[in-house]
Amino acid sequence: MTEHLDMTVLSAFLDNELESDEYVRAKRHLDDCPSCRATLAELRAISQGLQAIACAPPPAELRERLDWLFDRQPTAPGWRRWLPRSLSAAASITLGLLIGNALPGQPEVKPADHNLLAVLGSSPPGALCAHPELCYLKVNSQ
Amino acid sequence: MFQFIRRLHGSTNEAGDLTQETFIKAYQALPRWRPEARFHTWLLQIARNTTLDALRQRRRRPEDTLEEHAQLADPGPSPLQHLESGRRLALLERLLARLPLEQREILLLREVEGLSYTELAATLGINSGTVKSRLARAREAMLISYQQANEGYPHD
Repeated sequence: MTEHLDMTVLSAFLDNELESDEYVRAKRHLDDCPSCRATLAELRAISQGLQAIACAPPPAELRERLDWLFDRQPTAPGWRRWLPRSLSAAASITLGLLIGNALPGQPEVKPADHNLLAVLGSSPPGALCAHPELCYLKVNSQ
Repeated sequence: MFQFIRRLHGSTNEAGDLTQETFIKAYQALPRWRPEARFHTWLLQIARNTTLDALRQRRRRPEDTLEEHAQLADPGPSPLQHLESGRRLALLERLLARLPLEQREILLLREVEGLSYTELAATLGINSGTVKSRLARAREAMLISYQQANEGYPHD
């Protein structure tokens, strides 16, 4: 049997980081060597154990501290903070103008007809005449 | 992120402050983040640098704090096949805390955070050959300390 695999080879084998020819040699050796297989199994067990180390959440006090800290940070410096609001306002105005233009036009305005307006006048025959005998000629006065 | 910092630094109390510092630094550095780097890896790199700075400044040994609760000899009767038990995981965590910083951080980044070899190289600023050898040394140290902790307990 060839010499046992050193730790660098076993470690890289565990991570699947060996070149293909190195991998083939190591695999062949492992197939024939119970001692190296046992070492590899122990390394794998430790590796899996470390991966399984419980990740307890950070203390609540730290979370509160970070929340407080980053809530106070401006989201963007200077004018960039106002940019969203300005864009919203500009968009609203533009939309309003577009909608206004799309509506049907106002009816054409014509100058008032004086004859029609005469109906509303205070002189006969438009207005009500309080004393008809004074407003109309007496045609049968003959 | 908090758990990574806690395990790397070894102190639960200081891990909270360091986590906060990490997020502030990340927030300030956000414009420099590029999508080519995975965000998680980028954040881990900031957390690692922040933690190492703190350790350098305080010149503390992380295990000093964890020693208060450390219990080297596992009271459970089971061997490696029963790693899934809570006691086994607690033992692994204690043993991890006893490793030298260089070995502890590469194991944390690989096994707990799931970084690839390429990401490990980038995060730690080392080449891929060093990643392989450092990871192997860390695993060997972990294996030896685990076997020592289980001495006297019959294997199934």
